[in-house]
Amino acid sequence: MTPERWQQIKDILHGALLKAPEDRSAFLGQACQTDPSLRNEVESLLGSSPGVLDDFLKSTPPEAEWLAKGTRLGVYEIVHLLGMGGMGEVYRAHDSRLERDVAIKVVHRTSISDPDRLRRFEQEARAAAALNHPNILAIYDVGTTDEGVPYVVSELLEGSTLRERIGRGRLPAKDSMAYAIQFCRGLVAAHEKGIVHRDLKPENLFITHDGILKILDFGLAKLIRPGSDAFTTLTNVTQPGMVMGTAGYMSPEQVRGDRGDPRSDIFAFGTILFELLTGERAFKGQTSAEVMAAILNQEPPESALKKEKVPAPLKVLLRRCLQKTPEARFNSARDLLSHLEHGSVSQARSQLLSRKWIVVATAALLLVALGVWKISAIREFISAKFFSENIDSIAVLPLENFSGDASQEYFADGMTEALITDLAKIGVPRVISRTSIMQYKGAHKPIPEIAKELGVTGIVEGSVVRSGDRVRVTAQLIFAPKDKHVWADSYDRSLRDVLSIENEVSQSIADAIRLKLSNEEKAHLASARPVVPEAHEAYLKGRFLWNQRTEPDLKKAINFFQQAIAADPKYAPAYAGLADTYFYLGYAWGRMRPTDAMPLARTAAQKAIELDSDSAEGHASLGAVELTYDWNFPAAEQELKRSIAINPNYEWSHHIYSALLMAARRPDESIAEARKAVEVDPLSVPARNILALLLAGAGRYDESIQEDLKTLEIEPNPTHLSSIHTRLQDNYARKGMQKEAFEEHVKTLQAYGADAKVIEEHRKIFAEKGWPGLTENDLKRDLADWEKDHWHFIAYVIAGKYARLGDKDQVFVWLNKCVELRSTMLYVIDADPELAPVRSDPRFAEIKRKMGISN
Amino acid sequence: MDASIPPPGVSELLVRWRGGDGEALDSLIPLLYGELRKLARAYLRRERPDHTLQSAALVHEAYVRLAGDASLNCENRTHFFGVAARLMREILVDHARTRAAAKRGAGISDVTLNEALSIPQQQNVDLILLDDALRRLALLDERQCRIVELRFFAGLSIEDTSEALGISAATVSREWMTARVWLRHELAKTGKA
Repeated sequence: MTPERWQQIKDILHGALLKAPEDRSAFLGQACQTDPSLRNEVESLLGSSPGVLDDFLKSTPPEAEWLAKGTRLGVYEIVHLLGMGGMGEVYRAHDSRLERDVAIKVVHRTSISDPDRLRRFEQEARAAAALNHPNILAIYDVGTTDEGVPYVVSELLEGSTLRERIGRGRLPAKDSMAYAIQFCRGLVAAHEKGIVHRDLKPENLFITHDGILKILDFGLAKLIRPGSDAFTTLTNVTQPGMVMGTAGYMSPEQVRGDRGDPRSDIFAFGTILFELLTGERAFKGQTSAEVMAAILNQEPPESALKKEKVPAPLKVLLRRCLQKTPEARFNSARDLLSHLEHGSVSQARSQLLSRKWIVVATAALLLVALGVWKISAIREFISAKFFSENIDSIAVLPLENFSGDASQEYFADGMTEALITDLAKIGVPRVISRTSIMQYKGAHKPIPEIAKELGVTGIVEGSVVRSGDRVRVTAQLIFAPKDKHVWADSYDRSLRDVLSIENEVSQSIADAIRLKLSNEEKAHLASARPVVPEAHEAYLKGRFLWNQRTEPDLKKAINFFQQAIAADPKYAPAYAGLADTYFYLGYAWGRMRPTDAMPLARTAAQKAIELDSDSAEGHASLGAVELTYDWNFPAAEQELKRSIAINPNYEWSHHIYSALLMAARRPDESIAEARKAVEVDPLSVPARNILALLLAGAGRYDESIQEDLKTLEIEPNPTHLSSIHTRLQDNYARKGMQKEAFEEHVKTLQAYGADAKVIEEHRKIFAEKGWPGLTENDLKRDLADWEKDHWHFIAYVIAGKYARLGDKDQVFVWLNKCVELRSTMLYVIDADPELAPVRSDPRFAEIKRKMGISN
Repeated sequence: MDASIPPPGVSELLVRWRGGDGEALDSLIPLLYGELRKLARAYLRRERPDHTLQSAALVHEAYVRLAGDASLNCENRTHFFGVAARLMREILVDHARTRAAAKRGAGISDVTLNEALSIPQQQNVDLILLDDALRRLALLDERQCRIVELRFFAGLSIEDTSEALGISAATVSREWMTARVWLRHELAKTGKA
């Protein structure tokens, strides 16, 4: 056979192949009239290939290995296959932890087999997961199967793709416009977070049954098939004459091989809107090469716009989207949106919105008709449709450390704390403080139960993974009464941007609960300065230790705060942390002399305020120093009020302020303030302690006892246990319940670690000499302790013991020692019930004169 | 799969190639050949015994490894695949010949690529015979031979093939169809289709 002969044969062979087998003979007879040998050769070729259009030599896609029902991927259990996409299989799956159904896309392993690309895919998926917008498919999670196959977990949608929807027939113009606006809103949200889709097409837009448009596969679509636009066009293309898929929506710059930017998405938007409005492709061709040529060189057909009577403003808008050079298009999706929402377009939009209200109203009426006649049910139905669940209080559960490295624990805790602070500062009505939520660290209690215990409606939970200088934070907000997921996000940033993650999470939560942020609050979030990673890290370590509240930990905390300051001398929180640590050491948690500790605390607090005048912690710390060390009540009150104004959910400022009010003998206000401390930090033992203390001081023994019994349920540590049992002992004694009082005394001893012998001894003393006997006994112990290091706190305790025993002279000896040592306990002397018997003594006025306080 | 780093020089060559330097591609070919052979070997050794892989996937993987981030334009991309398809054919046929020789020694003669690569999955194709037939086809119609290479060995679609060769998709489709008929007939003649 010669090449020329083959060309001849080929032509006829092709013609025959296009005929049905029964028609071939007639065709060949006609085509080979002049050359019967040609017919023989063609028939011979055809004869050996009766099923020529079968799969001979065709490359076929790798056989899908579907996941069976019940297969587990992490917390997800496969329910069934929903469909196959270019990306891989999509399954319906059940999230066993949150008890909800989700969609899982398992990416074809051959689509991404390169480790670098896999990494990029995961990164992009995480970036896309950071998008939280009703018009963007919400990505919940990203993972890899045991075999290293990546999957993406997203919300489960019901409806159809825009491609399928168009396939069923033209959309009414106003629906098209409504979808276009939703589409554009999704783009705005993504572009403003720096995420470009790059592969927008009707296949990647989904219309739910509720008429909500969702953009799918943000940032992912382009990664699935290796960088090649050519590849993404292939899936359905086997026959000539078929208009290409993706190619028709590519921008000219992408056709030329550029990666594309937000303006490429705007071009794609234009092509899709064109198709929605006219029913025709903006750029057509027999082959993708022709389509691409059209994109590069042709204008979309004006005739189609004319035929559909597309109004002029819209035509102008389309033309601007479809400009060949990116610079000539709308600058941003935001710009495009504002044009879309104006003029003739907005009319269509308002019509559509009213239509949606009618649907809801009809459904509500239906509820009535069905006999579900309950106002609340209808309101709930409507609010569930249109408003997020009513979240008026939030607890941020300790973010879990998924770094696989226990030393990163402090980092997760620090993020948790930062989130709590941010949420409080931006005005979430009630945010539970860290000490309360830390009780739930590692405890996997059901969310509704936790919410009930803390008295909140919203729970934020999440995790932190840190690897080198990358941090990934995932967080979600759950409407606890229904255990219903409201919002979820994931952030993947460099350590340096850690602050921005906290802010973004807070902002998103505020959005999710429809909190209207004032400009000032927004400014607060926006003004966050970049964090020096080393400084932040040291700071978090310091705060972690500070919260342990033992003297060795406090001393270590100082080192870390100083490290943080060394790394970033302008980092206000580090100074506030340092101030708080010195404050504790000079108060009752460490044995530093107040004259040593408090000036250091003051300097650090002032520095924090100097660096950030809105540092709630700084103002609280300064207030504490002014109250307990300067005994300057007005100045302290001013600082504490300022701190509370900045962050009303900071337990410590309420705590100190309640102490101030108590010392100033304003019992009702002080109890109210202590209740606020407990409210924002329901499980904080110190907060509950001061409330019980203040109630006892106000003579409200029963209430005080109730509070202490509640505190015991949360199992405080031994230090706190002893003070609780001591207070219970006193309260029972004042109520005349001596037997119960003594039992509390025994429990106090046990909390201190006393053995049976000591307890027996106390029993004997109590039997013989009653309470005074025990007080004398305790006094002996305290006097021995005093000898060790002349601790101001012990001096004050001894003064109280002498007051109980009626030894006024000794009371003043010890109070004078307190004055000399500038004891941080003295600020309460006007209110301390122990000192009641000596307050009328002229020597008491002398003490106050020395302290510089008057009545 | 071993996570190999592209051989040194590849990215530079790609940049030069993208910049219009035709010689860069010539230098790229040996590198690409090495990469493809390495990938093919890895699969042929059944490093991932649980899943089969196509030659097309190998070519794509090589592309991703070598050019993944180099933002090649369409022309370069299709050119890349054109070259890769040719190389892949050589690699696979070489492999088949080696195996055939080994098996003949062991008294086994029927070697199909399916054993290792499952190309295509539905049927057994004797790669050595196919290679011979392709040589004969090239004598009759060089372009048809290229089309088969691109479609079969690199897994390119009609569209990509048309772009790679600069001809219309309709032509590719027609040529592909008749080439398959011809090849099938040739293989049938030698009794191995």
